[in-house]
Amino acid sequence: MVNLANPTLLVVIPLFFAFLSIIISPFLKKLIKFVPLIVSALNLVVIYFIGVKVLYGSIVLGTTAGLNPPYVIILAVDKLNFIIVLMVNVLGFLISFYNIFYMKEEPTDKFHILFTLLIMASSWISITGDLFNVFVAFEVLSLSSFGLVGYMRSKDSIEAGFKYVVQGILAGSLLLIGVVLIYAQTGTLNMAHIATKLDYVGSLEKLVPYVLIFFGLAVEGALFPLNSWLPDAHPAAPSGISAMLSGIVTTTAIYAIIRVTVTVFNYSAFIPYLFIIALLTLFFGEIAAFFQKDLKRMLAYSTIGQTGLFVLAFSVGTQASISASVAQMVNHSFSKAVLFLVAGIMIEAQGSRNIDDLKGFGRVNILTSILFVFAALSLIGVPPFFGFFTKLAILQTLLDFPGFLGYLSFALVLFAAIIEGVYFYRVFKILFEKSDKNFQAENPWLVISPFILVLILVILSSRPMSVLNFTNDIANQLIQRTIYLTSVLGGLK
Amino acid sequence: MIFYISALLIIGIGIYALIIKKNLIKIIIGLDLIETGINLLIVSIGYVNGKTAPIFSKDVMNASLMVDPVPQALTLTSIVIGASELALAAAFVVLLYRKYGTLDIRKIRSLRW
Repeated sequence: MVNLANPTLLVVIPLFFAFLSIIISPFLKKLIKFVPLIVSALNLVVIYFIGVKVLYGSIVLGTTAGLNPPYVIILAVDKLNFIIVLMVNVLGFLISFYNIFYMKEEPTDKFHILFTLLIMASSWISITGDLFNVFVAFEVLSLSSFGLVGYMRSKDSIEAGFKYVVQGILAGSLLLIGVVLIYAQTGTLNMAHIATKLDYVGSLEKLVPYVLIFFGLAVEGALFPLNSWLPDAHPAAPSGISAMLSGIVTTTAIYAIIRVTVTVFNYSAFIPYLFIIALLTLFFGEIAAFFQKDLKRMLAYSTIGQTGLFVLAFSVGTQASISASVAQMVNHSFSKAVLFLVAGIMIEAQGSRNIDDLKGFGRVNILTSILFVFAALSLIGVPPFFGFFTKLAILQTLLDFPGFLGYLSFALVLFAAIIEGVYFYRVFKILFEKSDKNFQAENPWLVISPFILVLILVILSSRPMSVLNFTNDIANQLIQRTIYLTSVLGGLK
Repeated sequence: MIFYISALLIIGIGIYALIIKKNLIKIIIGLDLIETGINLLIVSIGYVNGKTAPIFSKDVMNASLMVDPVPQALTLTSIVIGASELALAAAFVVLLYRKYGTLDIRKIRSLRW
């Protein structure tokens, strides 16, 4: 019997299937579209076996090459890794189901292979315990998403793709320089081993690589000055990919920032700057979303705003704030994925991305529109929904931030929620307005994935406190970093 | 020391090309220069003056006579990644040229920058 609770499988299974499907694609072109579905289903089985152990508080390690850490690349799963990798694969599963019916123009084999690689790279980033691996996984992630953004080969998507490629390569370079500078000072690449050695390194020598790594990851994580690719790339990509980019790619990048900041650097000196960057991201994202006429571009800017929100919560730096940040991350991933998937259905039905053209859509396709409304309300944070509890938790922690900035951010988060409410309300109003325009009826297969996602959101809304307790556990495990360090290094000093 | 200075110089030239140049091909060359500079930086971090390549052979069996092998492995990885990224970027440039008939970045502006 193979030990299924092995994190290495989460990377190996998708890679195996991706390469296998390249080989078999000339013969079995029609079957390739099921590959991402199979891969994420298998990954979910592995995650279940890992999860059973992780929930009892142990950290599951996957080593390679038969040696002990820190001499080999390791994969480590604690509670934070677990929830991120779970989200990646649940969304990967549902979105690849959606993609099967969404991508109609054959051949689609290359699209599905790239999507498999995207799932693999996101899972890899979220479980690796090695800093250089973060770089490699990050590059695989960028490469596959470059390809997917430019997949449609329209003017928009090529240009957005090129912009994304240039910024992505630059981001990767910054990240690599940062990682290498760390190696030069500590002589190791294992995150836990670096963390134990960095205590003896001066603060300036720590600051330079931290800033480089941070900005490298912030490009993919869409933080304020570095996110100009995002509002072009998300609308230009096919809708399933927009959902994946918004729901998963930015989230894993932010996860990597959290892991590097807390576990590796244990760095509090940078946190005020992080706070300001997040505040600016939140503010400009929501303001820009308010002025958009293009539905997907509006959702893309709203993603920037939401990213700002959970980085803001994280950068307060207390246990409660990290817990609220993770909860908001879950809320954002699921609800934004629904919004993009539904937006894809709407755009297909009317043939344009303009919000005003949607007039009367809700009267024809009621189920689709109701799913959109549910997800948007959860994103805004209207009381019975899960988003309300996460935003409440964030607001409670923001006042812990010392000084004037704490109050300012409190006011800004409320303000941003109002703006969000206004621009989503505008869409609702147009959706259900009277009009004599004829729309295609919704394709029932396409509605299944967003429906299941909304169902998950409803379940989360019915038990918000148990979710918040779990995220509190996550934050607790994250803050007590010595446990992570000792269990990864096996007692090695 | 000379390695570090030249690595930083190459990275600097690359960033200059990326920001100032308006031709898509020159932008890609800029990206390539940045990656080359970083590779030089990585190798020079592992370099120890007067030691040989980290390969066990008849003449050199003692690991203390060799330079650090890890940066060399990292460099190989980053060369492969860089090559594939630049190939993808070049593919995008080809597609852009087909759609727009120009390589000037100022003329390719259907999206708001």
